[in-house]
Amino acid sequence: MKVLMPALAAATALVSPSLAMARPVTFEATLKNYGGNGAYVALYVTDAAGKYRGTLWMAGGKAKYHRHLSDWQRLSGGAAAEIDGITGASIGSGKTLKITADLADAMIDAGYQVRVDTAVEDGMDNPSDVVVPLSTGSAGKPASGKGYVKSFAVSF
Amino acid sequence: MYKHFFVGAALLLSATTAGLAITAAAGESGFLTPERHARNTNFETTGQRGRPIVLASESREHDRHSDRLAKRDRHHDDDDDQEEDEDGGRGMMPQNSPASPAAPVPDNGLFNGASRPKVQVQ
Repeated sequence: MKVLMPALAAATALVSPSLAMARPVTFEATLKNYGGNGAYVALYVTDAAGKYRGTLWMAGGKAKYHRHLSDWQRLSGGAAAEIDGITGASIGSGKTLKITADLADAMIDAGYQVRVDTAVEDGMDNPSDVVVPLSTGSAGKPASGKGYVKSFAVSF
Repeated sequence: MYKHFFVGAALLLSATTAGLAITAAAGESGFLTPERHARNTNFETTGQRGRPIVLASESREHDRHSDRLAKRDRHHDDDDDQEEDEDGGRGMMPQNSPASPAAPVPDNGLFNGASRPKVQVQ
């Protein structure tokens, strides 16, 4: 018991700062009723210089179609290993994709941008369909996409 | 007599196999490639991958042939879909789940090194 309490205190002291440095961020993308096949959608983050920093989610599991998400493909270089655990189904016409991820506080209001690429079989490829800054100022304000994205919002 | 029959059958089988192989090689992606886009819009285009030049003014028979090829291409793509989507339906992956649940969370600095994002499709 004497050993357990200090160990518990030490573990709490180590874990707490890391928890405090992250916050849940919700990304909500609603697609237009375009009436076609499921859309491939890539959500990824670029920094203030436009450099790729990571993928949040890849909707659409066939790697051979990922090249149609052309900005994501160009900036990430394909990133096949990176998206292994964060890939899901393509998104149907008119559906809403809602993603909640714990992001580091340091990424908020630091010039980072969330980009969404979309592509549909027998349809259009929309690189950077919508781009939204990762900032408290734009939180909760839906932005319209130029392609299949009807609206996209980030909330903290 | 039998010899001629066997030779004829062998030739027919070879020709069918070669035709199927060419068709399979032609179907690469279900998304619009420049080749397929040109075929769908019937614009004049230069031959790619050894295909002949297609002119808008060519006969209707050629269009029918192109349509048949396109359908065969699409069917081939559907076969691909079935091969790759083991857990889902035809051409679709199961909703709301990662492709590989056992895969580690990517260490790309976005997820604070720990939790996988929660995903919903509504």
